[in-house]
Amino acid sequence: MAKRRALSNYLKMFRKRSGLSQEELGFLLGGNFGTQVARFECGRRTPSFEALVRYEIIFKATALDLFTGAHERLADDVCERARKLHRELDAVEPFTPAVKQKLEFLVDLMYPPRKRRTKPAA
Amino acid sequence: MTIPTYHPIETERILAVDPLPRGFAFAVLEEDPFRLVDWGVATTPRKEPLGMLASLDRVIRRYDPSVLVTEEPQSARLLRRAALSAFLESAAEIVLAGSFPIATYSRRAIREAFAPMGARTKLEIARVIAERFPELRSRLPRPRRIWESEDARMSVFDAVSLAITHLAAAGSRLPRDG
Repeated sequence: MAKRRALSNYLKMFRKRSGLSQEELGFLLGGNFGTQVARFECGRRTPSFEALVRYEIIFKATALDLFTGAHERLADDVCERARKLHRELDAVEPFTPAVKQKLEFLVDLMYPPRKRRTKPAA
Repeated sequence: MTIPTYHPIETERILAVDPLPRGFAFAVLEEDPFRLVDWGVATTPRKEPLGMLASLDRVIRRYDPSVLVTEEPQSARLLRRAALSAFLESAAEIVLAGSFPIATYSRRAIREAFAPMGARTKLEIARVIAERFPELRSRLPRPRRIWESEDARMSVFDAVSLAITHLAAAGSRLPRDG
């Protein structure tokens, strides 16, 4: 059976678990209406940095828990960019300790251990 | 240097639907991690018979399920069977567009799935579900008296029980925590 990637966000799940209405959560987020919350939940609007921090405080959850799909998408992008940068730096001459330090840092970014697992060897 | 291949974590996302006379109750469960993502009842006015399909389409678009689970019409009682058949028929178009299968389970299959947890009646099954998902505790109806019709809130528990039955049938281990 075809599996699915994580949803872009799990804001609605956390809100419903808490029992709060959209209006009540909107108030906690610093506004007065639930409309904004509805837009965040269906992905029509991206929360501001302040709203994101408030979400983390309210639900005691990390940005990764709240925005799993979006986090994975951005992690993919960072990973891809780290690969490109790694390729460029790898070709740099001379190979100084500073370049080595950067390459080691980029390798960690290229293979994040937390959200990914290696495919079994064919 | 050999670069290993990585892929994102994927999960089975189950959309369970319990058709009602004017709408449907639904539950969205994810297998890994095992959690209840969304639940609720979508009702439509009598004047808008296509409203139910529009609501179902919205839920499907939002959650992109890997399978749609509902009750098996053949094993249901006469009126319920007609409602389930009508639902499956009208939902077929949406489901075909969504490229995911439909799984159906009888009431007996649901009871068998919950028997190891010591639940046989609908209320006992609902209690087991509320214990596993505390977010549903406030929706748990009180025991029904013989002259009363079923509490409308029970339909959400029916939808969740269908999803759990599907996982049990697929051989998934149902974790008790998180």
